Amino acid sequence: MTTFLLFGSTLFSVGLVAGGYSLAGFSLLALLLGALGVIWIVGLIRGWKWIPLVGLLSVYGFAAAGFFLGLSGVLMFVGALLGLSAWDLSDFSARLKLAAEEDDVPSLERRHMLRLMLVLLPGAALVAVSLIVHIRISFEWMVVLILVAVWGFGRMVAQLLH
Amino acid sequence: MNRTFYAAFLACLLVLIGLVTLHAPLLILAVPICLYLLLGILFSPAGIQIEVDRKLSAGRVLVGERVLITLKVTNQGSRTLEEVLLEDLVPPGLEMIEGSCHRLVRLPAGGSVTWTYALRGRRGSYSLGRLRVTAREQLGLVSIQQTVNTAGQLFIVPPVLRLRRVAIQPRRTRVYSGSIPARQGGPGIEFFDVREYQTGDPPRWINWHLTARHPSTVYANQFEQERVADVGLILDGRRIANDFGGRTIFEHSVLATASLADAFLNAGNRVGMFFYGKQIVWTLPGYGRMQVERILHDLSRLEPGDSQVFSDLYVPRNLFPSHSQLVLISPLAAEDDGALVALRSRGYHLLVISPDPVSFELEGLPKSDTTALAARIVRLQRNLLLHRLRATGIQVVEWDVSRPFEQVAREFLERRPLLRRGIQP
Repeated sequence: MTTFLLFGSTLFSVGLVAGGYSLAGFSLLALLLGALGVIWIVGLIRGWKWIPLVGLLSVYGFAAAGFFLGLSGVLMFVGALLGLSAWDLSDFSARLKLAAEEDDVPSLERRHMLRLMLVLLPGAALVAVSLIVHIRISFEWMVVLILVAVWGFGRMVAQLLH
Repeated sequence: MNRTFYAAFLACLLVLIGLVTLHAPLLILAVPICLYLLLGILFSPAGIQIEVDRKLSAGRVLVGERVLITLKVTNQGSRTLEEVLLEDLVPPGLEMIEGSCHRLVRLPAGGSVTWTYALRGRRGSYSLGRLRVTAREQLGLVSIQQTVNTAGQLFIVPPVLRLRRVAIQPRRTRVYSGSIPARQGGPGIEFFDVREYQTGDPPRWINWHLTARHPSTVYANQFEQERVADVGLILDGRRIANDFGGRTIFEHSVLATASLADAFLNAGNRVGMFFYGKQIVWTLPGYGRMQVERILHDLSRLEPGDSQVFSDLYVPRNLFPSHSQLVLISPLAAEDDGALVALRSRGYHLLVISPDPVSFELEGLPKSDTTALAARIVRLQRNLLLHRLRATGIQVVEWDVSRPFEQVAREFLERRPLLRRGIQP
């Protein structure tokens, strides 16, 4: 199941972002994304350890650039979400290779997918809400938010790395 | 750099660029990654409290035999470990032949997992006492690792070939009866001498022919007493004598030592072993099955080392007095004759079992005229060395290791060396 979802996420992630570019007439960038998708898939098959991270950063980079270029927000968001899913599943798939024959792999997979859904579904819901609701904030609040963001990320990363 | 760092870096970058450029979609793009990291923190494992019970089907097996390892791992903590990788750290030299030494499981609080796998390996002493536990939350962002120590020692000992008899004839024997001719008259099997009949001698011992020639006296036969002896096995583990390129003849020497120790101890002798290699190991002399086990255990952990010559070879006289039997198992190096002759001159009876390094090395080399010529030269040097040893009264048995040791033992060791019988000092 994991392998199937991994390849599915990868293909759809790259496909959706590339589709967004293609629809807006950026054929060259769409082709570039297509090539990235092919390399990503080949890398997954051949077990290149660096490819999921490169794929994730590329998809997010292209999605962010897509927003600046005014491309379809839904395609960019969903593509990025699936990119995150592909990145997570590639690591999970590598961990599953350490399972013995008698291990209950389907149960582990089921639990992992549920946890991943806890990220993807609220993420998608928040994205959907954000596309509809717009709040204007002042510069001072912006500075406060930046500081809070930096502090929050610092704490989060420190805790995770600890 | 781990995954957490990259995810956090990406989220940070998106948030900062979003805030700096006042572009809200970038902030939204960071939301799923932030959620991902947040879940990693929320569900991170608190700690590992694991109890491990290990059982080995045998603590001592022969080379090639398999041993079953059963592990029971119990989560003693109060929280479920969502994803635990259990890796039994198998030392190099052992190979898995059945099952797996690692498991990926979910361990609820108080729950346990039990599994069995089979190993076999090379001769050696292995510590199987470490289990590495890696607990992760399900997204794999946070992991805790701990190595749990358990009891578990495995000895893989060399196979013991059953030799029927190894004929030795040291001058010094012990008081207990055994199978080694003691050069003293008394009860026994082989004729030794005649003497005057004494009260208590069995009538069938009377030598009627001699008595007929001397009518005034009755003579009785005496037989050679058979007793046990002190036998010191010296195993040569020097790399200079044992290693040839990537191949080593040492395992053959170990096999011969194990078989000889078993044969000598089965015959009731007092046997000790001295190893001269990576480390110097003494197995103090002893008798019986326990001593066989001691020697096999010691043999299991011996490795060749970088000692060069036998110059400092010292045999303690309190353990092996002069005229005891020493058995050297060694492929022999060029300058070894000096040390061996010195041992001989101290009165020891020396038997050298020498696995033939020339034919062994030749087997691993490509066949060519140069190789053949080199082999001839080395063979001549070796023959000269063996000749010098034999000339000093050292019994040398050359063993081409392509032949089974029991065959060589049957041919050269079962019978007493007739030519030197009775004339050895």
